[in-house]
Amino acid sequence: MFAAAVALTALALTLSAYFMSRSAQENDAVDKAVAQTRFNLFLADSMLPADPSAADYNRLLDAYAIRGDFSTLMITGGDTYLSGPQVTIDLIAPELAAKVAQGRIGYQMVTMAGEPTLAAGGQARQGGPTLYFFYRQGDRQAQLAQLRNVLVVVGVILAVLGALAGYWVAGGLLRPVGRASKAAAAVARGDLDVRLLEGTDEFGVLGSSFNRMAENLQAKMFDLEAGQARERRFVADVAHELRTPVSALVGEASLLRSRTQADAAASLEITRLSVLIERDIGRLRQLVDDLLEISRLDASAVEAVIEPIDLVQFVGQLVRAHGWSDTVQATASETNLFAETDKRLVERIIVNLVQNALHHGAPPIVVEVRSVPVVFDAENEDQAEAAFVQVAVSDSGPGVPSEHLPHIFDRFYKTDPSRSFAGGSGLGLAIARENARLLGGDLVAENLPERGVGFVLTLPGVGSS
Amino acid sequence: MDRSAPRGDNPGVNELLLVVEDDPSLREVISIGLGGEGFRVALAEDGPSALLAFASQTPDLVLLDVMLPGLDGFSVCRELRKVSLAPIIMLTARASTGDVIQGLESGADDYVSKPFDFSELVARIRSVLRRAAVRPTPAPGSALLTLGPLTIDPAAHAASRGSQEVALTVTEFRLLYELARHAGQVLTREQLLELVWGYSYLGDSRLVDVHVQRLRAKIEEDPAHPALIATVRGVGYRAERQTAP
Repeated sequence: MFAAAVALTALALTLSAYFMSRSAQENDAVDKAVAQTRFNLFLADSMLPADPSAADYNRLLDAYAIRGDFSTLMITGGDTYLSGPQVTIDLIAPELAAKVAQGRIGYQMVTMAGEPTLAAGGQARQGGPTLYFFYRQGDRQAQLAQLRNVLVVVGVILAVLGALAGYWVAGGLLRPVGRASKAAAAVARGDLDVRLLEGTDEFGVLGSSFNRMAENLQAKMFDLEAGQARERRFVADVAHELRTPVSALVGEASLLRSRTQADAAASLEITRLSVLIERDIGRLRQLVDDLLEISRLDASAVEAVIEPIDLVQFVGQLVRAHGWSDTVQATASETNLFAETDKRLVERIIVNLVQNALHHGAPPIVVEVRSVPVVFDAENEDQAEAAFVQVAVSDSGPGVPSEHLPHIFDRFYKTDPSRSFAGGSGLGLAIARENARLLGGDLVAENLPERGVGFVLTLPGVGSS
Repeated sequence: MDRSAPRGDNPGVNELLLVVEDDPSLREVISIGLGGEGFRVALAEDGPSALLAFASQTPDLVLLDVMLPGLDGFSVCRELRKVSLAPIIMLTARASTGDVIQGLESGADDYVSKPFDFSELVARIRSVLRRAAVRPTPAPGSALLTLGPLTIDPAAHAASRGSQEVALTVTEFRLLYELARHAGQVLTREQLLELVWGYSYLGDSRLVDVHVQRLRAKIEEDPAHPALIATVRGVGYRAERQTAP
């Protein structure tokens, strides 16, 4: 904007310079022509005798021819003398003739033989011949044209330079605004480390206020994060402290149960109670385990050992090892599908998903390993070529009511609040998702038409890293 | 000190286990449980008394908690390794990578994470004791195995370089033996876990990795550039087949 205005100004200046010098030149030419004409008339007055003859007139014309580079038209009584073939009486407009007839010197622009010419005329003396002189302006026009060309070039250069200078000046003025807007965008993105220059001018004051704002925000965020970290540490500490007594309890309950069952003298009730104790302590242990695991995930303390793993083979192994062959059907799109992943973490995810399906869904449960050849991820160009491997676990139950589906990865989320602790700690799916993300993949859930819930674990394939 | 009465289901002299655990309840329940499984049990509640008890009683196996007041389990393990090759099982925090690796690197044969199932603990103890007690049957016709400059004597449970014996724990020996027995062949971590540690299913492959490192430190001339046991990335390990002399 500013740059364009500066360029226009430069052009206008150039144009006015052109027109000013043109009009100055014109005035100058008229002055010269009038002065020359006055001199010529004076010459005629002094050269011509009182009653001039044709020879006198011709001598005067000769004198004019020697004097200068103008043509002459002389009207005496009835005769007309011409100094050259281009000169005709037609060149004299009636207005000029009228003015001259009043005894004044008049002038007028005419075109003589295609050339701009200034015609000026007057009477040599009272009742004497009327003289018109034609001053060619061709040279002057050529000069003007040259001037115009020079000015056009200069004007363009000025316009460009002006535009650049304008841009620079405008930038100097507007740059702080640009910086402020960029900084605001950064804060909006969550980057609270940006700061603006401070100073005493308006922008400086804006910068100071902005910086205070960012600092306050940062302090608040820091407090919030610290609070969250404290909370998490507390949970981790609780789980940690519970571990030893729970270990003792697990051992004690297990011994109590086995001894009671082996003791013929123990009553059925006592035996049953010992079984219940062992089972409930098992649940408590599961909860402590899961709390520990999720707090370790929260603290980023879980390290993945990444190696290529054939998931088809691995899923088959898992199904056999857990004795699920009757209820779980393992299928695969290919005979081998390798993922770059951590075996222990993947095992935990898959076991968790299958157990979840066994507890909440209905058999048959299908675990399908399949490849996702190319996933285009516009936000992450590096991964554009990445191949992924998916493990899909689905059951044949009624599925999860759709209002619960978005929350099933939440911690301790219960689809049915009355059913607490239905076969899990309430942390299993949350842990599974955290683990999946730790492995550079993801875990999502959806209700499948005609089937139950489908969980899809996506893991980086081999060669995607 | 608590010694439970020997039980009939374990033939021969019952093994003596030293249990090092600072929590009294856990110490007692482990003691009762292991006693019930037919082991003799000695108890220690901290690091220094564990070292004393070890020196005076020479147990067949040490069950060592990581978190001990005073001297921690890793330090106790390293101290024990200076004087003994006896099997050591660590009780670690659950799935804590740092604890597990550090425990194995300080010389433990295996680990059980807390809270543990009693049956799992007993299974791990029996597996390590079996490694120590049962001599692997040598292939017929070749009583001795060789791997590079090493001579491996399965019957004597010993490996030597020339006339000099290489001091290996039972687990290290068993690992060397299995690799040498399958020289030229890649053994996966799973196979090694089953052959050496007796995990029939999905043990912790870090057991294999850390023990291979420790074994290399003892048998390789340059452990950073192993010549005897090669790593096959993504698969496992292979003892290099001996070139003809």
